[in-house]
Amino acid sequence: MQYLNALTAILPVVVLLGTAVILLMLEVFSLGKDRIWAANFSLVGLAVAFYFAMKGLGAEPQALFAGPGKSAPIIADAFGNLAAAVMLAGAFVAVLLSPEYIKNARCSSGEYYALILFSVVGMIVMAMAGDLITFFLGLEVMSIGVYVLTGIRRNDLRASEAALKYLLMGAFATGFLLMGIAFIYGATGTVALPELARQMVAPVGGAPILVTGLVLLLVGVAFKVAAVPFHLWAPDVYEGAPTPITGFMAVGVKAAAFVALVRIVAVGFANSEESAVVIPFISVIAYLTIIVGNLLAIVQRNVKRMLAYSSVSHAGYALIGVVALARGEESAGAAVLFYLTAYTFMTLGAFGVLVFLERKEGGAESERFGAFAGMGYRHPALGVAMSVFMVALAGMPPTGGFFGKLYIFSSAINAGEMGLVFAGILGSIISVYYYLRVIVSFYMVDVPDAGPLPTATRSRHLTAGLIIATAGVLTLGIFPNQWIELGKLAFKSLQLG
Amino acid sequence: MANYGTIFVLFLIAAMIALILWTLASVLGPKAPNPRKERPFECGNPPLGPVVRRVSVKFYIVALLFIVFDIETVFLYPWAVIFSELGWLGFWTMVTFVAILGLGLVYVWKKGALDWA
Amino acid sequence: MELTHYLLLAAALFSLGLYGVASRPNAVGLLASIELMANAVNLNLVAFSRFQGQQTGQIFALFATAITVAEVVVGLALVIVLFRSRGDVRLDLAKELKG
Repeated sequence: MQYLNALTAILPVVVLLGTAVILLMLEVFSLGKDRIWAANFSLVGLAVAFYFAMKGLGAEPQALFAGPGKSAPIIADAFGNLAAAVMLAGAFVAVLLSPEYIKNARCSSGEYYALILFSVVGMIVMAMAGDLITFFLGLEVMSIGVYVLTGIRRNDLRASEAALKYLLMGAFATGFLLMGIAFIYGATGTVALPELARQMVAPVGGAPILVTGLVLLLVGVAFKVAAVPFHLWAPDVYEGAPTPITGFMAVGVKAAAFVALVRIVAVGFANSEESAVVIPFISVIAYLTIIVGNLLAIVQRNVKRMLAYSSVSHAGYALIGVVALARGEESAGAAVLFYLTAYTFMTLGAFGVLVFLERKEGGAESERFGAFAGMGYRHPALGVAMSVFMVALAGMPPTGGFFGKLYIFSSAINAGEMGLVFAGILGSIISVYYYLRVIVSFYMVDVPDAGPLPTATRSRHLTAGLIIATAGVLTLGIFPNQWIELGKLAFKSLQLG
Repeated sequence: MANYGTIFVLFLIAAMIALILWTLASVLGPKAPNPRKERPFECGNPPLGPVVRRVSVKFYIVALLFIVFDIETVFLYPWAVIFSELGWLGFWTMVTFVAILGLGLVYVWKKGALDWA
Repeated sequence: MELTHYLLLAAALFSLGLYGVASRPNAVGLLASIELMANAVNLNLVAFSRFQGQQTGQIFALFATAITVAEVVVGLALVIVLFRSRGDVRLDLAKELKG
């Protein structure tokens, strides 16, 4: 049967949706009062979905859910499945970080895990979107889930304000994105990516409209990935959101947006004259994002805000890859995927350490650099893990962060974007300062009045999450070839579809 | 467009009549303001409490839920128009959609968001 | 009526929405302004769809409406939460945007 066949091709999505809906039902029929079951149940769902995503890597690209004579809204190919696997791994680690936080913050949480799963569904839909409508739908499913997750601590004013601000800014950006898609549709008469590519071969009549549309679309996406100058919401939202969710949206939302962007650029706008017109626009955003993100990260006193700006600057590095891809450099597709994978593990790991260190009553105070003094001696394993994440974020070997930047920069050199590479290297050098500052404060002399020590965690989930993140960062750093080859294979599947 | 010209003239005349009557009334009418007259009119009684009352937040929650479920049904209309062309694929897709929506309703119901008290 | 007329109207509505976002100090007003922007887009979509003689744009407008409604509903729910804990719903985005 056609429908069942279509569902089998997107099993990761089906499994996630099923898990999330069952979670909600279990929650309201109060079958489990113990909160840890919800986390475990969603971990099982994510693991099964991950298995199916990896299995889908070998399958032929399939165009699904097409109406008679219409283009397909969903394309299940190796690229989509590999991207899904990255997002699922990110969500898995984010869920592992959550029980400890929920216990400390005492926030209600049956829906918490279901919302994470729903958001991941949106991300996967974005990665597999065959037309701009589906891309938009996935983006919104993801975003709405994350808006609610940001404000899930209803009794915390800071969180509610952050959530509302995030939602308003996000909806505002959605307006631009929609307007962009409307213009692209108006200029070409289609929203399907393969069809767009065909339209591009012949010069399009409404080229100025098309360029306007592309620019507006990019503005919308730039808001979502917090690229400068559309990043102003990020620090407050990152600070106000529950820490595991901050990690989740720093990696998940960004990965989904960039993966979708890669697909749109590679399938819809490859080598078209109009997309060449907007390359300078993307380049300017990339320059600004790298420089401003890194400079603002230096002056932050709160580690959570510092990580927010660091994630802004990382969006800039990934944008270099997008520019190279738009120039027709195909290795950039796999490079961006690799970068996002490494970024997922190192950022989630850093937020996991924050979850560990945040004290019950500390609030924003416990996130300051000074509060970490001596932590490296009190919790040696934690100190090592945090050092690994910071070294990786700074882009130094032998970590995945190093190879991520290496692949991005080398593809940009192939594309002839020397200026961007220079900016990227400069940004990385600046970033060494504030990442190393975290390590330094970890191993600073023990401050006697550092307040009550956080007790060593008994949460096996948090420990497992940190171990997976560390292992991920190091594995990508020691065996980068396997993953980049997988990325190249996946990127090839884009052209087959 | 020309046919609408007469209607436009009609609007203009109507507006002018209203304007003239209003001006005449305010110029010629006798005025004797006193505090009692300037109070908001509430069926002859002295007004009770502020005019703008706070509405219970329950209205908002029910209204929000209504809007969500209301707007989702919009998808049924275009689907119904080309139902026969879509075949079983379209049928089962919509069944899934409605089923998930139904489970959403179950969730809202059991969560107690529909209880007034 | 030409396509340009619709596009101009949509552009005007979109700009009004933009102005509203920049000037309103109230979260509900912000949501209304954003909704105005979204509806300008819908007008564009339907106009393009009509002048190209195909339905894709109309279907997209339908999806866009449903999604923006969902967004606004979540927004209003957050407004209620904020109102319960703070007593007002001021949120000056223009000020926030300046840093």
